[in-house]
Amino acid sequence: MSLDNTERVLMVSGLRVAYGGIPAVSDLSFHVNAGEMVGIIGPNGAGKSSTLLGVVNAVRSESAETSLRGVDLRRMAPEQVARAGLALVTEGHHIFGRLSVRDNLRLGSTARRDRRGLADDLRWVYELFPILSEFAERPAGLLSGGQQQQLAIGRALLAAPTLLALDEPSLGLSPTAVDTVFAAIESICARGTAVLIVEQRAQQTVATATRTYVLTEGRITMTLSPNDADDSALLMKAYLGS
Amino acid sequence: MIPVIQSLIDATSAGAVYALAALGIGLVFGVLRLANFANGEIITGAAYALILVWPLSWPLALAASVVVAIALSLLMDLAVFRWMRSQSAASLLIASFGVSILLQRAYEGIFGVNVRTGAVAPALTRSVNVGGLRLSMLAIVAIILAAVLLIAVHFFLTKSRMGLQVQAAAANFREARILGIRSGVMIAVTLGMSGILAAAVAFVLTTQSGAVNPTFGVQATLFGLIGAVIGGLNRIGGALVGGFAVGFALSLFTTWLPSGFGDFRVALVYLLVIVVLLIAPNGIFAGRTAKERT
Ligand SMILES: Nc1ncnc2c1ncn2[C@@H]1O[C@H](COP(=O)(O)OP(=O)(O)OP(=O)(O)O)[C@@H](O)[C@H]1O
Ligand SMILES: [Mg+2]
Repeated sequence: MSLDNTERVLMVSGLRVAYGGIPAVSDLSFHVNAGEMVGIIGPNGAGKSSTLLGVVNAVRSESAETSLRGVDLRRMAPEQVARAGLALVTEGHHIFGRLSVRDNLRLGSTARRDRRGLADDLRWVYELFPILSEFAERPAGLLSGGQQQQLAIGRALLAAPTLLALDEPSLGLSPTAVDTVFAAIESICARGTAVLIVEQRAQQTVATATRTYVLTEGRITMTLSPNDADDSALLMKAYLGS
Repeated sequence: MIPVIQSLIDATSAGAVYALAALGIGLVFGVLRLANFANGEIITGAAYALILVWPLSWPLALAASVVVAIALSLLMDLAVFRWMRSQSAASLLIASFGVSILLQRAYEGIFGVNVRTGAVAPALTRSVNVGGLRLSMLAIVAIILAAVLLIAVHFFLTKSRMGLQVQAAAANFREARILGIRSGVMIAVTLGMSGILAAAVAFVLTTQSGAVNPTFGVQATLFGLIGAVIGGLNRIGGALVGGFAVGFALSLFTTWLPSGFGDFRVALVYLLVIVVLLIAPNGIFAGRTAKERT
């Protein structure tokens, strides 16, 4: 499948999320094009998770536009957003610990009806994360943190999403596990799924992503390109939100 | 020896009935975070259907009891609980007391305050001889009915696509929705299952008593709820075992306590509950899953 690089996958404009009247995300606008990996970085409490949860309507949000390939997501329930093609791997990768790895993966494909495509995708996920095939029958709760993260990503991929959104996939992982996850994200992107990734690892994210938004106190304060990855002074400034 | 065996079988049968009641309550709590006290009035509704329709046609009575139970279960959600989805489990429990009392008054208005009597499955009230033992047929049927339903629920939850989704919704409702699992469907399926289980409880209890009144289902639900709490409301299997334990203990206390002490059996069950909850505040089986929900 050839992808036109200027095709909008996700368009978000004027997004607001507030908890009990206290704003967490204010007037946020960003987009993801086909074939892109887009990053969002920012300090703790900047509103990164709230942004993702607001986009999929898992928390109450308002916006002028939130659309996936032109389809308005704003009035949809979270499950409808997922079925429209936006898969979110939440922060802390909530896998179902008592269910087997295989059953967890099966839950990712809830909305799929194309058996052939699903079998192909499952093979691909097992190639991407061989440990999942090895431990398929184990209760998912027994996997290590890095393995659980791989399971959560694999589970999301089995929905054959148009856009894969990841909330801090490197959180709590060892350096090798982080590399595994980042390498997988690059292959996912290369295979044609657009990726929106929220991260704390600024350098690695800016270097890999087509474009990285810096979020501070619920607003985008900077947009960085891969060229900025080695400018540590700039990254530091982005982070401290000065 | 024979009375001992008979009393153990009776206790197993009582345990089986309360296990069904507790399982229905536990399933609903898992998915909706609703400890539904009004489950009692679902049982009562099914019991009225059995008692009133049985003289006309027994298959119709069985079907009517299941339909009434499922309908009540879905309707109380549609009318009340649905509007409280974001509320705490405590608020939901209080609301369910309200629904329970409202339905009891409705039954009084429709069927009268007095007991309505009628024979449900009279063939089961006889005793049978098994190897020299005189066993109550109903006790055996109750045990078989419970076993069949429990196995069916188990296979549904662990082997079917939809059952897996119900388990996911029970473990983490928001995460399940983010994966595309339809929340409305999961809730309806769960309420439907609890309705079927309530109808089964109503069948055994009406066959036993041959009578129904507006508060008929309260006791089974109270003990089912207690069983579910002891076993750990968060674990479906736990609720089941807890319900069984309560029914089993109640029945044995009834048989073995010296006459005159019979009134204390309920107090003894509560004492047992207090002791269990002091030792394991989240229920006997809660420990292993405590972390999964964070
Ligand atoms: N459920 C909630 N209720 C109330 N306030 C919340 C809730 N979730 C987040 N917040 C607040 O909203 C703000 C943004 O939180 P959010 O989780 O989106 O930040 P984040 O950028 O993802 O942080 P981190 O890097 O620590 O994950 C914070 O001030 C947080 O305390
Ligand atoms: Mg976050």
